Amino acid sequence: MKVNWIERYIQAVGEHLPSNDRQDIESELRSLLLDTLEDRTGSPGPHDDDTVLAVLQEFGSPQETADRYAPRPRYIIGPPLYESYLQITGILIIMALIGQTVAFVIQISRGDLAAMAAVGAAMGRALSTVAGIVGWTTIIFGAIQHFSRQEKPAEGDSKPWDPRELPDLHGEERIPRAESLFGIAISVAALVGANLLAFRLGIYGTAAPDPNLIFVNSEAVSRLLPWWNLIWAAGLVHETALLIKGRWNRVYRWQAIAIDVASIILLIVLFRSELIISEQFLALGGPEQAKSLADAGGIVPTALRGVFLGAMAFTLWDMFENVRSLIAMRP
Amino acid sequence: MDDQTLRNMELEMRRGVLTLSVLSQLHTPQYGYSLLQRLSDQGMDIDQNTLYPLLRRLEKQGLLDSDWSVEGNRPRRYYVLNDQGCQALHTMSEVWRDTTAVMQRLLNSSDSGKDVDQ
Repeated sequence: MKVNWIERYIQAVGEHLPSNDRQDIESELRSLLLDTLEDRTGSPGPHDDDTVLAVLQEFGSPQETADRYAPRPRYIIGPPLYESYLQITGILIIMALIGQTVAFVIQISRGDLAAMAAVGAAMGRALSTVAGIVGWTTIIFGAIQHFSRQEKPAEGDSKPWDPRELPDLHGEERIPRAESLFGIAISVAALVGANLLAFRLGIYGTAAPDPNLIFVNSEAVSRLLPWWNLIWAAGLVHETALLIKGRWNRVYRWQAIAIDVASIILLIVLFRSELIISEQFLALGGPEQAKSLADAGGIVPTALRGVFLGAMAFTLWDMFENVRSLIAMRP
Repeated sequence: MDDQTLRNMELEMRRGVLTLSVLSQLHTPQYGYSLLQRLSDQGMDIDQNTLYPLLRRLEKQGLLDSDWSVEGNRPRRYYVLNDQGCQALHTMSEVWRDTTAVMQRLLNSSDSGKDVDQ
């Protein structure tokens, strides 16, 4: 089978480019390479391997070519990661602030804190959350940048790069940035929602400091939550990697399938039992309960099961798509 | 002084005039490779891998406009000077003429000084 050296080269250059300019620069590089080959051979193609490899050799290594388009000064987080860094930091800050705002509103409505004291405490918490998120994302992205940076050979003992060592094509499946960002937002929302808000979901009276009724069984949810956290954290890492690379490869497909399988197993556990719903809620319907609460007691478990079933169907479809794409990928 | 140092000095000097060279040829739309040829035909050889990043930078600086156009089966990006680019070219041309005049004087005085020394 004829190897498409040009596409391999463009792919290798693209991996070192900032994601927002990647596609544009790749198209331009392709155009330049084909023009050079046409000029060199006097024909629009196809061209023999030796000619193509000689032209690629002249262009320089993928890293060098990428550096000309996006020079790398001294930095903690470079162009290929910077956009993702800003977006992920932004998403995390927004999600965390939304979670804290909801918690703050609940605290105020329950009368747990005096209004002014609560506002002061909430602002302090928000500032510390933002600082924490910026700090941690910078450390994590700085580490990714540091370890992903290719060592440049020292001058003098550098060996010329060989286009024949270019890695195989990944299969050319690009990932729209919006898709990865949506995945990141969902993972963060799930992590924040389940850990901060799940235990507070309930029905609150106007006067009572405690809820009249909490929907979830805290003990059972606490047992399952670490597993869900693992899945969501894995999802977050996976989507972040997709955002940075901008392309699917076999490893990412396998990761997605593993996450789907784990999610389906946990959804089955949830679907088969009512253990995450509080006993108090399940026992609703007694004469002392208001009619609306009694109705809610019947509706909520059914609605929850519907949600689990829907999530299972979606995850199964996603898994099927991942398996199909994996099979279709060039080996 | 070794050859490498001299080569670096030459590269540095040529790098300084690349932008002006490129701007001077973009009154009519050109795609990268045609521009490369045009410059080369007139004695200004530019590394192909240097030209495209330079064109992108000039576009980002608002001096050039660009547009993709499909010829045959191949899409090509055409670059052309915009109003700001024309203005920049005019100004830079003036600077270039002044600079070359100054350099000419300097080099002439250097040559005559050498003659006196000898």
